[in-house]
Amino acid sequence: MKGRSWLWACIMGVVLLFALSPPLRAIENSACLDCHGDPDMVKELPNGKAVSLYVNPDRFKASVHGRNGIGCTDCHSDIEKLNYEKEVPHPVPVAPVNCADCHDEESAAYEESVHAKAKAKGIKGAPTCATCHQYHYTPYLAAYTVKEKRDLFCSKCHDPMSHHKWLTQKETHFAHVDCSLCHAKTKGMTNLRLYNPLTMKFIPGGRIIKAFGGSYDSFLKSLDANKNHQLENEELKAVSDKLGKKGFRVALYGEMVAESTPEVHKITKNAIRKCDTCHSPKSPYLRSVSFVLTKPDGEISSYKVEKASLSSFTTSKFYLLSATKVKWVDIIGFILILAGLCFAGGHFFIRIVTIPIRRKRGDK
Amino acid sequence: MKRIYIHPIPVRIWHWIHAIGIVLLVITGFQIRFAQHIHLMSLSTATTMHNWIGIIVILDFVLWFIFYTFTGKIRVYFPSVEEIFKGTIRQAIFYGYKIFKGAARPYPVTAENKFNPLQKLAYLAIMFILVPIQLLTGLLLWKVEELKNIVDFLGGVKVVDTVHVLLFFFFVAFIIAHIYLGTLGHTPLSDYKAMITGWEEEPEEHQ
Repeated sequence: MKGRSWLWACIMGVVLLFALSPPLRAIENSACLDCHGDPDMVKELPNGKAVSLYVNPDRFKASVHGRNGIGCTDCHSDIEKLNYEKEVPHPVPVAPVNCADCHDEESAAYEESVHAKAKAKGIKGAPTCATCHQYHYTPYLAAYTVKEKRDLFCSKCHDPMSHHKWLTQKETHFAHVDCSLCHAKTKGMTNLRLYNPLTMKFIPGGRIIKAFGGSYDSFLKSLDANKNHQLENEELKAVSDKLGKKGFRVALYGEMVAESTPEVHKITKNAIRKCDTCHSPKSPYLRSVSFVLTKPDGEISSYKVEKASLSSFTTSKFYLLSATKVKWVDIIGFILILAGLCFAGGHFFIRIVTIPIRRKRGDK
Repeated sequence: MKRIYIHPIPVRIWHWIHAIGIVLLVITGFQIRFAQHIHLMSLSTATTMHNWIGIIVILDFVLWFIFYTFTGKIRVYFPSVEEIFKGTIRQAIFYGYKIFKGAARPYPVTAENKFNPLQKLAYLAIMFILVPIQLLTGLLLWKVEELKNIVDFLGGVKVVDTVHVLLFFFFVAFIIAHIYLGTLGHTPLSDYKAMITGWEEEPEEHQ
Protein backbone atom coordinates (compact mmCIF):
# COMPACT_ATOMS: atom_id res chain seq x y z
CA MET A 1 0.00 0.00 0.00
CA LYS A 2 2.71 2.35 1.06
CA GLY A 3 4.64 1.85 -2.16
CA ARG A 4 1.55 2.43 -4.25
CA SER A 5 0.68 5.75 -2.56
CA TRP A 6 4.22 6.93 -3.24
CA LEU A 7 3.74 6.06 -6.87
CA TRP A 8 0.47 7.99 -6.97
CA ALA A 9 2.01 10.95 -5.30
CA CYS A 10 4.81 10.95 -7.87
CA ILE A 11 2.37 10.74 -10.79
CA MET A 12 0.18 13.53 -9.37
CA GLY A 13 3.29 15.63 -8.77
CA VAL A 14 4.40 15.27 -12.36
CA VAL A 15 0.87 16.03 -13.63
CA LEU A 16 0.68 19.11 -11.41
CA LEU A 17 4.10 20.26 -12.51
CA PHE A 18 2.97 20.15 -16.15
CA ALA A 19 -0.38 21.76 -15.36
CA LEU A 20 1.06 24.67 -13.44
CA SER A 21 4.14 25.35 -15.55
CA PRO A 22 3.87 27.75 -18.51
CA PRO A 23 2.96 26.15 -21.84
CA LEU A 24 5.91 24.37 -23.23
CA ARG A 25 7.36 25.54 -26.49
CA ALA A 26 9.21 23.32 -28.88
CA ILE A 27 12.11 25.71 -28.44
CA GLU A 28 12.54 27.91 -25.39
CA ASN A 29 13.75 31.51 -25.67
CA SER A 30 16.75 30.53 -23.58
CA ALA A 31 17.87 28.13 -26.29
CA CYS A 32 17.84 30.96 -28.86
CA LEU A 33 19.53 33.36 -26.47
CA ASP A 34 22.34 30.89 -25.82
CA CYS A 35 23.73 32.18 -29.08
CA HIS A 36 21.75 35.38 -29.82
CA GLY A 37 22.23 36.68 -26.30
CA ASP A 38 25.93 37.10 -27.04
CA PRO A 39 26.64 40.76 -28.00
CA ASP A 40 29.48 39.60 -30.24
CA MET A 41 27.29 37.43 -32.40
CA VAL A 42 27.56 38.73 -35.96
CA LYS A 43 26.88 37.40 -39.39
CA GLU A 44 29.17 38.25 -42.24
CA LEU A 45 27.46 39.32 -45.45
CA PRO A 46 28.84 38.42 -48.90
CA ASN A 47 29.99 42.05 -49.26
CA GLY A 48 32.17 41.63 -46.18
CA LYS A 49 30.00 43.73 -43.88
CA ALA A 50 29.02 42.33 -40.51
CA VAL A 51 25.46 42.35 -39.25
CA SER A 52 24.77 41.95 -35.55
CA LEU A 53 22.47 39.05 -34.67
CA TYR A 54 22.45 39.97 -31.01
CA VAL A 55 19.17 40.26 -29.15
CA ASN A 56 19.37 42.01 -25.78
CA PRO A 57 17.48 39.60 -23.48
CA ASP A 58 16.41 42.31 -21.02
CA ARG A 59 15.16 44.68 -23.68
CA PHE A 60 13.26 41.87 -25.35
CA LYS A 61 11.71 40.87 -22.02
CA ALA A 62 10.55 44.49 -21.53
CA SER A 63 9.02 44.71 -25.00
CA VAL A 64 5.32 44.31 -25.73
CA HIS A 65 5.96 40.77 -26.96
CA GLY A 66 8.34 39.78 -24.19
CA ARG A 67 5.92 40.92 -21.52
CA ASN A 68 3.03 39.08 -23.11
CA GLY A 69 4.92 35.81 -23.16
CA ILE A 70 5.48 35.73 -26.90
CA GLY A 71 8.52 33.58 -27.59
CA CYS A 72 11.13 33.71 -30.32
CA THR A 73 9.60 30.87 -32.33
CA ASP A 74 6.07 32.30 -32.10
CA CYS A 75 7.22 34.84 -34.68
CA HIS A 76 10.12 32.90 -36.22
CA SER A 77 7.69 30.05 -36.76
CA ASP A 78 9.72 28.37 -39.49
CA ILE A 79 12.17 27.23 -36.82
CA GLU A 80 10.53 24.07 -35.52
CA LYS A 81 13.53 22.31 -33.99
CA LEU A 82 17.17 22.97 -33.42
CA ASN A 83 19.76 20.69 -34.91
CA TYR A 84 22.97 21.20 -33.00
CA GLU A 85 24.89 18.95 -35.34
CA LYS A 86 24.92 21.78 -37.87
CA GLU A 87 26.98 24.95 -37.49
CA VAL A 88 23.76 26.99 -37.45
CA PRO A 89 21.10 24.88 -35.77
CA HIS A 90 18.16 26.38 -37.69
CA PRO A 91 17.27 26.97 -41.35
CA VAL A 92 19.36 29.74 -42.93
CA PRO A 93 18.14 32.24 -43.84
CA VAL A 94 15.15 32.24 -41.51
CA ALA A 95 11.86 33.13 -43.19
CA PRO A 96 10.71 36.73 -42.81
CA VAL A 97 8.35 37.18 -39.88
CA ASN A 98 4.74 37.73 -40.89
CA CYS A 99 3.26 40.13 -38.32
CA ALA A 100 -0.17 39.70 -39.92
CA ASP A 101 -0.32 36.13 -38.56
CA CYS A 102 -1.34 37.72 -35.25
CA HIS A 103 -2.00 41.37 -36.19
CA ASP A 104 -4.41 40.78 -39.04
CA GLU A 105 -6.56 43.91 -38.54
CA GLU A 106 -3.54 46.17 -38.20
CA SER A 107 -2.03 44.59 -41.26
CA ALA A 108 -5.22 45.07 -43.29
CA ALA A 109 -5.27 48.76 -42.32
CA TYR A 110 -1.59 49.09 -43.22
CA GLU A 111 -2.27 47.58 -46.67
CA GLU A 112 -4.53 50.58 -47.39
CA SER A 113 -1.94 53.09 -46.22
CA VAL A 114 0.33 55.35 -48.22
CA HIS A 115 3.21 53.33 -46.75
CA ALA A 116 1.98 50.06 -48.28
CA LYS A 117 1.43 51.82 -51.61
CA ALA A 118 5.01 53.09 -51.51
CA LYS A 119 6.20 49.59 -50.76
CA ALA A 120 4.16 48.17 -53.63
CA LYS A 121 5.75 50.70 -55.96
CA GLY A 122 9.13 49.39 -54.88
CA ILE A 123 10.20 52.67 -53.30
CA LYS A 124 13.40 52.10 -51.34
CA GLY A 125 12.95 52.54 -47.63
CA ALA A 126 9.15 52.27 -47.76
CA PRO A 127 8.22 51.36 -44.22
CA THR A 128 7.13 47.92 -43.12
CA CYS A 129 5.97 47.01 -39.60
CA ALA A 130 9.44 46.88 -38.08
CA THR A 131 10.49 50.25 -39.51
CA CYS A 132 8.26 51.88 -36.93
CA HIS A 133 7.78 49.17 -34.31
CA GLN A 134 11.35 47.74 -34.28
CA TYR A 135 12.15 44.06 -34.57
CA HIS A 136 12.71 42.75 -31.08
CA TYR A 137 12.11 45.69 -28.80
CA THR A 138 8.58 46.74 -29.80
CA PRO A 139 7.68 49.30 -27.13
CA TYR A 140 4.43 50.00 -25.31
CA LEU A 141 3.25 53.29 -26.72
CA ALA A 142 0.61 54.50 -24.28
CA ALA A 143 3.07 56.43 -22.12
CA TYR A 144 4.84 58.01 -25.09
CA THR A 145 4.26 61.71 -25.54
CA VAL A 146 3.18 63.11 -28.89
CA LYS A 147 6.75 64.24 -29.50
CA GLU A 148 8.27 60.91 -28.50
CA LYS A 149 5.93 59.06 -30.85
CA ARG A 150 6.80 61.43 -33.66
CA ASP A 151 10.53 60.93 -33.10
CA LEU A 152 10.11 57.17 -32.91
CA PHE A 153 7.89 56.87 -35.98
CA CYS A 154 7.25 59.67 -38.43
CA SER A 155 10.34 61.83 -38.01
CA LYS A 156 12.55 58.91 -38.95
CA CYS A 157 11.62 59.57 -42.57
CA HIS A 158 9.59 62.79 -42.64
CA ASP A 159 10.45 66.30 -41.56
CA PRO A 160 7.08 67.72 -40.53
CA MET A 161 8.38 71.30 -40.71
CA SER A 162 9.17 71.05 -44.41
CA HIS A 163 5.59 69.99 -45.16
CA HIS A 164 2.32 71.38 -43.79
CA LYS A 165 2.86 74.71 -45.57
CA TRP A 166 -0.81 75.56 -45.12
CA LEU A 167 -0.74 74.97 -41.37
CA THR A 168 -0.27 77.85 -38.97
CA GLN A 169 1.34 77.31 -35.57
CA LYS A 170 3.22 74.25 -36.82
CA GLU A 171 5.38 73.83 -33.72
CA THR A 172 2.36 74.00 -31.45
CA HIS A 173 0.44 71.44 -33.45
CA PHE A 174 3.42 69.09 -33.60
CA ALA A 175 3.92 69.37 -29.83
CA HIS A 176 0.32 68.62 -28.91
CA VAL A 177 -1.30 66.55 -31.67
CA ASP A 178 -0.50 63.00 -32.80
CA CYS A 179 0.46 62.86 -36.48
CA SER A 180 -1.91 59.91 -36.92
CA LEU A 181 -4.87 61.87 -35.57
CA CYS A 182 -5.01 63.82 -38.84
CA HIS A 183 -3.15 61.39 -41.08
CA ALA A 184 -5.10 58.25 -40.19
CA LYS A 185 -8.36 60.02 -39.32
CA THR A 186 -8.74 57.77 -36.29
CA LYS A 187 -10.80 58.26 -33.20
CA GLY A 188 -8.99 60.47 -30.77
CA MET A 189 -9.04 61.87 -27.28
CA THR A 190 -7.47 64.54 -25.12
CA ASN A 191 -5.02 63.53 -22.42
CA LEU A 192 -3.78 65.74 -19.60
CA ARG A 193 -0.30 64.82 -18.42
CA LEU A 194 1.65 66.06 -15.44
CA TYR A 195 4.31 68.51 -16.50
CA ASN A 196 6.83 70.63 -14.65
CA PRO A 197 6.66 74.11 -16.17
CA LEU A 198 10.02 75.07 -14.64
CA THR A 199 12.08 72.20 -16.00
CA MET A 200 9.69 71.85 -18.97
CA LYS A 201 9.70 68.07 -18.50
CA PHE A 202 6.94 65.57 -18.00
CA ILE A 203 6.61 64.05 -14.53
CA PRO A 204 6.55 60.24 -14.64
CA GLY A 205 3.65 58.71 -12.72
CA GLY A 206 6.12 56.47 -10.91
CA ARG A 207 7.52 59.46 -9.02
CA ILE A 208 4.06 60.48 -7.88
CA ILE A 209 3.23 56.98 -6.66
CA LYS A 210 6.59 56.75 -4.90
CA ALA A 211 5.80 59.98 -3.02
CA PHE A 212 2.20 59.10 -2.14
CA GLY A 213 2.34 55.31 -1.87
CA GLY A 214 -0.45 52.96 -2.92
CA SER A 215 -1.26 51.98 -6.47
CA TYR A 216 -1.79 54.08 -9.56
CA ASP A 217 -5.51 53.39 -9.52
CA SER A 218 -5.92 54.11 -5.82
CA PHE A 219 -4.08 57.41 -6.23
CA LEU A 220 -6.31 58.44 -9.13
CA LYS A 221 -9.42 57.46 -7.17
CA SER A 222 -8.21 59.57 -4.23
CA LEU A 223 -8.38 62.65 -6.48
CA ASP A 224 -12.07 62.07 -7.15
CA ALA A 225 -13.43 63.68 -3.99
CA ASN A 226 -17.12 63.28 -4.82
CA LYS A 227 -16.62 59.73 -6.15
CA ASN A 228 -18.59 60.30 -9.34
CA HIS A 229 -15.93 58.63 -11.50
CA GLN A 230 -14.74 61.81 -13.13
CA LEU A 231 -12.59 64.76 -12.13
CA GLU A 232 -14.37 68.10 -12.23
CA ASN A 233 -12.56 71.40 -12.41
CA GLU A 234 -12.34 71.81 -8.62
CA GLU A 235 -10.93 68.31 -8.20
CA LEU A 236 -8.44 68.89 -11.00
CA LYS A 237 -7.42 72.17 -9.38
CA ALA A 238 -6.82 70.32 -6.11
CA VAL A 239 -4.34 68.00 -7.86
CA SER A 240 -1.63 70.65 -8.06
CA ASP A 241 -2.17 71.59 -4.38
CA LYS A 242 -1.99 67.96 -3.35
CA LEU A 243 1.18 67.38 -5.37
CA GLY A 244 2.58 70.74 -4.32
CA LYS A 245 2.57 69.59 -0.69
CA LYS A 246 5.05 66.88 -1.65
CA GLY A 247 7.23 69.33 -3.51
CA PHE A 248 5.96 68.76 -7.02
CA ARG A 249 5.58 71.79 -9.22
CA VAL A 250 2.94 70.69 -11.72
CA ALA A 251 0.96 71.93 -14.64
CA LEU A 252 -1.37 69.96 -16.89
CA TYR A 253 -0.08 69.45 -20.41
CA GLY A 254 -2.79 68.71 -22.95
CA GLU A 255 -2.27 66.35 -25.84
CA MET A 256 -4.70 65.25 -28.53
CA VAL A 257 -3.87 61.65 -29.23
CA ALA A 258 -5.09 58.96 -31.58
CA GLU A 259 -6.86 56.03 -30.03
CA SER A 260 -4.76 52.91 -30.31
CA THR A 261 -6.88 51.03 -32.82
CA PRO A 262 -5.85 49.09 -35.95
CA GLU A 263 -6.95 52.07 -38.09
CA VAL A 264 -3.93 54.02 -36.85
CA HIS A 265 -1.94 52.08 -39.45
CA LYS A 266 -4.01 53.44 -42.34
CA ILE A 267 -1.80 56.49 -42.77
CA THR A 268 -2.87 58.70 -45.65
CA LYS A 269 -1.37 61.67 -47.43
CA ASN A 270 -4.79 63.32 -47.56
CA ALA A 271 -4.88 64.29 -43.93
CA ILE A 272 -7.61 66.25 -42.20
CA ARG A 273 -7.21 69.90 -43.20
CA LYS A 274 -10.36 71.32 -41.73
CA CYS A 275 -9.37 73.39 -38.72
CA ASP A 276 -12.75 73.11 -37.05
CA THR A 277 -12.41 69.33 -36.78
CA CYS A 278 -10.45 70.15 -33.64
CA HIS A 279 -11.05 73.88 -33.16
CA SER A 280 -14.66 73.59 -32.12
CA PRO A 281 -16.30 72.86 -28.78
CA LYS A 282 -17.99 70.00 -30.63
CA SER A 283 -14.69 68.42 -31.67
CA PRO A 284 -14.88 64.61 -31.47
CA TYR A 285 -11.44 64.65 -29.86
CA LEU A 286 -12.83 66.51 -26.86
CA ARG A 287 -15.50 63.91 -26.16
CA SER A 288 -13.04 61.90 -24.11
CA VAL A 289 -10.74 63.80 -21.77
CA SER A 290 -8.48 61.97 -19.33
CA PHE A 291 -5.98 62.69 -16.62
CA VAL A 292 -3.03 60.40 -17.25
CA LEU A 293 -0.28 58.92 -15.10
CA THR A 294 2.52 57.20 -16.98
CA LYS A 295 3.99 53.97 -15.69
CA PRO A 296 7.61 52.88 -15.95
CA ASP A 297 6.65 49.94 -18.19
CA GLY A 298 5.24 52.27 -20.83
CA GLU A 299 1.59 51.82 -19.93
CA ILE A 300 -0.67 54.45 -18.40
CA SER A 301 -3.34 54.76 -15.75
CA SER A 302 -5.99 57.27 -16.60
CA TYR A 303 -9.06 58.88 -15.06
CA LYS A 304 -11.95 60.59 -16.81
CA VAL A 305 -11.96 64.40 -16.68
CA GLU A 306 -14.99 66.63 -17.16
CA LYS A 307 -14.64 68.42 -20.50
CA ALA A 308 -15.56 71.82 -19.00
CA SER A 309 -12.24 71.81 -17.09
CA LEU A 310 -10.52 72.49 -20.39
CA SER A 311 -12.30 75.86 -20.54
CA SER A 312 -10.84 77.05 -17.26
CA PHE A 313 -7.53 78.34 -15.99
CA THR A 314 -6.89 75.00 -14.29
CA THR A 315 -5.62 73.88 -17.67
CA SER A 316 -3.89 77.17 -18.40
CA LYS A 317 -1.12 75.49 -20.39
CA PHE A 318 -3.59 74.03 -22.88
CA TYR A 319 -5.71 76.15 -25.15
CA LEU A 320 -7.44 74.80 -28.20
CA LEU A 321 -8.26 77.97 -30.07
CA SER A 322 -11.98 78.81 -30.08
CA ALA A 323 -12.80 75.40 -28.58
CA THR A 324 -11.68 75.60 -24.96
CA LYS A 325 -11.91 79.32 -24.30
CA VAL A 326 -12.81 80.82 -20.95
CA LYS A 327 -16.38 82.07 -21.37
CA TRP A 328 -16.38 85.08 -18.99
CA VAL A 329 -13.63 86.72 -21.04
CA ASP A 330 -16.08 87.09 -23.93
CA ILE A 331 -18.80 88.41 -21.62
CA ILE A 332 -16.47 91.16 -20.34
CA GLY A 333 -15.54 91.85 -23.95
CA PHE A 334 -19.13 92.40 -25.03
CA ILE A 335 -19.76 94.67 -22.06
CA LEU A 336 -16.72 96.77 -23.12
CA ILE A 337 -17.93 97.02 -26.72
CA LEU A 338 -21.44 97.84 -25.56
CA ALA A 339 -20.03 100.58 -23.33
CA GLY A 340 -18.15 102.06 -26.30
CA LEU A 341 -21.30 102.02 -28.42
CA CYS A 342 -23.44 103.52 -25.66
CA PHE A 343 -20.93 106.32 -25.08
CA ALA A 344 -20.66 107.25 -28.76
CA GLY A 345 -24.38 106.77 -29.45
CA GLY A 346 -25.50 108.58 -26.31
CA HIS A 347 -23.22 111.56 -26.87
CA PHE A 348 -24.25 111.80 -30.51
CA PHE A 349 -27.93 111.69 -29.52
CA ILE A 350 -27.52 114.55 -27.04
CA ARG A 351 -25.56 116.49 -29.66
CA ILE A 352 -28.46 116.19 -32.08
CA VAL A 353 -31.06 117.07 -29.47
CA THR A 354 -29.11 120.16 -28.33
CA ILE A 355 -28.61 121.63 -31.82
CA PRO A 356 -31.32 124.32 -31.21
CA ILE A 357 -29.49 125.53 -28.06
CA ARG A 358 -26.23 126.04 -29.95
CA ARG A 359 -28.03 127.67 -32.89
CA LYS A 360 -29.61 130.17 -30.52
CA ARG A 361 -26.23 131.06 -29.00
CA GLY A 362 -24.75 131.41 -32.47
CA ASP A 363 -27.47 133.86 -33.50
CA LYS A 364 -26.67 136.01 -30.49
CA MET B 1 -9.83 130.81 -39.44
CA LYS B 2 -6.24 129.76 -38.85
CA ARG B 3 -4.50 126.66 -40.19
CA ILE B 4 -2.00 124.85 -37.96
CA TYR B 5 0.32 122.08 -39.15
CA ILE B 6 -0.05 119.41 -36.43
CA HIS B 7 0.48 116.03 -38.10
CA PRO B 8 3.79 115.74 -40.04
CA ILE B 9 3.96 113.13 -42.80
CA PRO B 10 5.58 110.34 -40.68
CA VAL B 11 2.78 110.70 -38.13
CA ARG B 12 0.11 110.47 -40.81
CA ILE B 13 1.77 107.44 -42.44
CA TRP B 14 2.09 105.76 -39.04
CA HIS B 15 -1.52 106.58 -38.11
CA TRP B 16 -3.13 105.23 -41.27
CA ILE B 17 -1.02 102.06 -41.46
CA HIS B 18 -1.96 101.56 -37.82
CA ALA B 19 -5.65 102.27 -38.52
CA ILE B 20 -5.92 99.84 -41.44
CA GLY B 21 -3.85 97.29 -39.52
CA ILE B 22 -6.00 97.49 -36.42
CA VAL B 23 -9.24 97.20 -38.38
CA LEU B 24 -7.92 94.08 -40.14
CA LEU B 25 -6.67 92.70 -36.82
CA VAL B 26 -10.12 93.24 -35.33
CA ILE B 27 -11.87 91.49 -38.23
CA THR B 28 -9.48 88.53 -38.24
CA GLY B 29 -9.47 88.58 -34.44
CA PHE B 30 -13.24 88.17 -34.31
CA GLN B 31 -12.96 85.34 -36.84
CA ILE B 32 -10.34 83.57 -34.71
CA ARG B 33 -12.16 84.05 -31.43
CA PHE B 34 -15.63 83.20 -32.74
CA ALA B 35 -14.87 80.64 -35.44
CA GLN B 36 -18.14 78.82 -34.71
CA HIS B 37 -20.30 81.87 -35.30
CA ILE B 38 -18.43 83.95 -37.89
CA HIS B 39 -17.58 82.52 -41.28
CA LEU B 40 -15.80 85.29 -43.19
CA MET B 41 -12.74 83.14 -43.86
CA SER B 42 -11.17 79.92 -42.70
CA LEU B 43 -9.48 79.82 -39.30
CA SER B 44 -6.20 79.12 -41.05
CA THR B 45 -6.52 82.21 -43.32
CA ALA B 46 -7.60 84.33 -40.36
CA THR B 47 -4.62 83.31 -38.19
CA THR B 48 -2.13 83.70 -41.03
CA MET B 49 -3.49 87.17 -41.86
CA HIS B 50 -3.66 88.13 -38.18
CA ASN B 51 0.00 87.12 -37.71
CA TRP B 52 1.30 89.04 -40.73
CA ILE B 53 -0.73 92.16 -40.05
CA GLY B 54 0.41 91.95 -36.45
CA ILE B 55 4.03 92.09 -37.58
CA ILE B 56 3.28 95.12 -39.79
CA VAL B 57 1.61 96.87 -36.84
CA ILE B 58 4.63 96.09 -34.64
CA LEU B 59 7.00 97.60 -37.21
CA ASP B 60 4.63 100.56 -37.54
CA PHE B 61 4.71 101.00 -33.76
CA VAL B 62 8.51 101.08 -33.91
CA LEU B 63 8.22 103.81 -36.60
CA TRP B 64 5.94 105.82 -34.30
CA PHE B 65 8.27 105.43 -31.36
CA ILE B 66 11.41 106.37 -33.30
CA PHE B 67 9.80 109.43 -34.92
CA TYR B 68 8.30 110.81 -31.73
CA THR B 69 11.39 110.08 -29.63
CA PHE B 70 14.02 111.46 -32.00
CA THR B 71 12.06 114.61 -32.83
CA GLY B 72 11.30 115.22 -29.17
CA LYS B 73 7.63 115.39 -30.04
CA ILE B 74 6.99 112.52 -27.65
CA ARG B 75 6.46 115.11 -24.92
CA VAL B 76 3.00 115.87 -26.36
CA TYR B 77 1.91 112.59 -24.75
CA PHE B 78 2.93 113.62 -21.23
CA PRO B 79 0.41 115.75 -19.32
CA SER B 80 1.57 118.28 -16.75
CA VAL B 81 0.50 117.85 -13.12
CA GLU B 82 -2.06 120.62 -13.61
CA GLU B 83 -3.44 118.84 -16.67
CA ILE B 84 -3.69 115.47 -14.90
CA PHE B 85 -5.85 116.80 -12.09
CA LYS B 86 -7.64 120.01 -13.11
CA GLY B 87 -7.27 119.59 -16.85
CA THR B 88 -8.95 116.20 -17.12
CA ILE B 89 -11.91 117.45 -15.08
CA ARG B 90 -12.20 120.61 -17.19
CA GLN B 91 -12.06 118.56 -20.37
CA ALA B 92 -14.59 116.01 -19.03
CA ILE B 93 -16.99 118.80 -18.12
CA PHE B 94 -16.52 120.20 -21.61
CA TYR B 95 -17.25 116.86 -23.31
CA GLY B 96 -20.11 115.99 -20.99
CA TYR B 97 -21.85 119.35 -20.78
CA LYS B 98 -20.35 122.53 -22.22
CA ILE B 99 -19.90 121.16 -25.72
CA PHE B 100 -23.68 120.87 -26.06
CA LYS B 101 -24.03 124.56 -25.26
CA GLY B 102 -21.48 125.42 -27.95
CA ALA B 103 -18.80 126.61 -25.50
CA ALA B 104 -15.23 127.12 -26.68
CA ARG B 105 -12.80 124.25 -26.13
CA PRO B 106 -10.78 124.57 -22.91
CA TYR B 107 -7.63 123.26 -24.59
CA PRO B 108 -7.52 124.47 -28.19
CA VAL B 109 -5.05 122.78 -30.54
CA THR B 110 -1.66 124.43 -30.99
CA ALA B 111 1.30 123.31 -33.08
CA GLU B 112 3.21 122.26 -29.93
CA ASN B 113 0.28 120.87 -27.97
CA LYS B 114 -2.17 118.96 -30.11
CA PHE B 115 -3.78 116.84 -27.37
CA ASN B 116 -6.16 117.90 -24.60
CA PRO B 117 -5.49 116.48 -21.10
CA LEU B 118 -7.93 113.56 -21.53
CA GLN B 119 -6.36 112.68 -24.87
CA LYS B 120 -2.92 112.84 -23.31
CA LEU B 121 -3.85 110.46 -20.49
CA ALA B 122 -5.69 108.07 -22.78
CA TYR B 123 -2.97 108.00 -25.43
CA LEU B 124 -0.25 107.73 -22.79
CA ALA B 125 -1.89 104.63 -21.35
CA ILE B 126 -2.62 103.22 -24.79
CA MET B 127 0.64 103.90 -26.60
CA PHE B 128 3.02 103.29 -23.71
CA ILE B 129 1.28 100.47 -21.82
CA LEU B 130 -1.65 98.81 -23.57
CA VAL B 131 -0.40 98.65 -27.17
CA PRO B 132 3.04 97.34 -26.09
CA ILE B 133 1.34 94.66 -23.94
CA GLN B 134 -0.88 93.76 -26.88
CA LEU B 135 2.06 93.54 -29.26
CA LEU B 136 4.09 91.44 -26.82
CA THR B 137 1.25 89.03 -26.01
CA GLY B 138 0.58 88.83 -29.74
CA LEU B 139 4.21 87.88 -30.38
CA LEU B 140 4.05 85.25 -27.64
CA LEU B 141 0.88 83.73 -29.09
CA TRP B 142 2.38 83.81 -32.59
CA LYS B 143 5.38 81.73 -31.45
CA VAL B 144 3.70 80.07 -28.50
CA GLU B 145 5.70 76.83 -28.68
CA GLU B 146 9.05 78.47 -29.44
CA LEU B 147 8.60 81.01 -26.64
CA LYS B 148 7.07 78.44 -24.29
CA ASN B 149 9.37 79.26 -21.37
CA ILE B 150 8.18 82.89 -21.35
CA VAL B 151 4.54 81.90 -21.92
CA ASP B 152 4.70 79.36 -19.09
CA PHE B 153 6.43 81.87 -16.84
CA LEU B 154 3.50 84.24 -17.39
CA GLY B 155 1.05 81.52 -16.38
CA GLY B 156 0.47 79.60 -19.58
CA VAL B 157 -1.05 80.12 -23.00
CA LYS B 158 -4.56 80.65 -21.64
CA VAL B 159 -3.42 83.50 -19.38
CA VAL B 160 -1.51 85.23 -22.19
CA ASP B 161 -4.47 84.69 -24.51
CA THR B 162 -6.89 86.15 -21.97
CA VAL B 163 -4.80 89.33 -21.64
CA HIS B 164 -4.59 89.59 -25.43
CA VAL B 165 -8.33 89.03 -25.90
CA LEU B 166 -9.40 91.44 -23.14
CA LEU B 167 -7.19 94.14 -24.64
CA PHE B 168 -8.60 93.24 -28.04
CA PHE B 169 -12.11 93.97 -26.77
CA PHE B 170 -10.90 97.16 -25.11
CA PHE B 171 -9.37 98.34 -28.39
CA VAL B 172 -12.60 97.59 -30.26
CA ALA B 173 -14.47 99.76 -27.75
CA PHE B 174 -11.74 102.39 -27.98
CA ILE B 175 -11.93 102.50 -31.79
CA ILE B 176 -15.67 103.16 -31.60
CA ALA B 177 -15.08 106.02 -29.18
CA HIS B 178 -12.05 107.25 -31.15
CA ILE B 179 -13.96 107.43 -34.44
CA TYR B 180 -16.80 109.25 -32.74
CA LEU B 181 -14.60 111.68 -30.81
CA GLY B 182 -12.90 112.50 -34.11
CA THR B 183 -16.12 114.24 -35.13
CA LEU B 184 -15.94 116.66 -32.18
CA GLY B 185 -13.44 119.00 -33.84
CA HIS B 186 -14.14 122.51 -35.05
CA THR B 187 -16.38 120.89 -37.67
CA PRO B 188 -17.38 117.20 -37.69
CA LEU B 189 -14.80 116.48 -40.40
CA SER B 190 -11.99 118.91 -39.47
CA ASP B 191 -10.05 116.36 -37.37
CA TYR B 192 -10.36 113.78 -40.15
CA LYS B 193 -9.08 116.30 -42.71
CA ALA B 194 -6.18 117.14 -40.41
CA MET B 195 -5.23 113.47 -40.13
CA ILE B 196 -5.05 113.33 -43.95
CA THR B 197 -3.54 116.73 -44.85
CA GLY B 198 -1.68 117.42 -41.62
CA TRP B 199 -3.37 120.87 -41.25
CA GLU B 200 -5.92 121.51 -38.53
CA GLU B 201 -8.38 124.38 -38.92
CA GLU B 202 -8.92 126.39 -35.77
CA PRO B 203 -11.33 129.30 -35.26
CA GLU B 204 -9.42 132.61 -34.98
CA GLU B 205 -10.73 133.45 -31.50
CA HIS B 206 -8.81 130.54 -29.97
CA GLN B 207 -5.42 131.80 -31.07
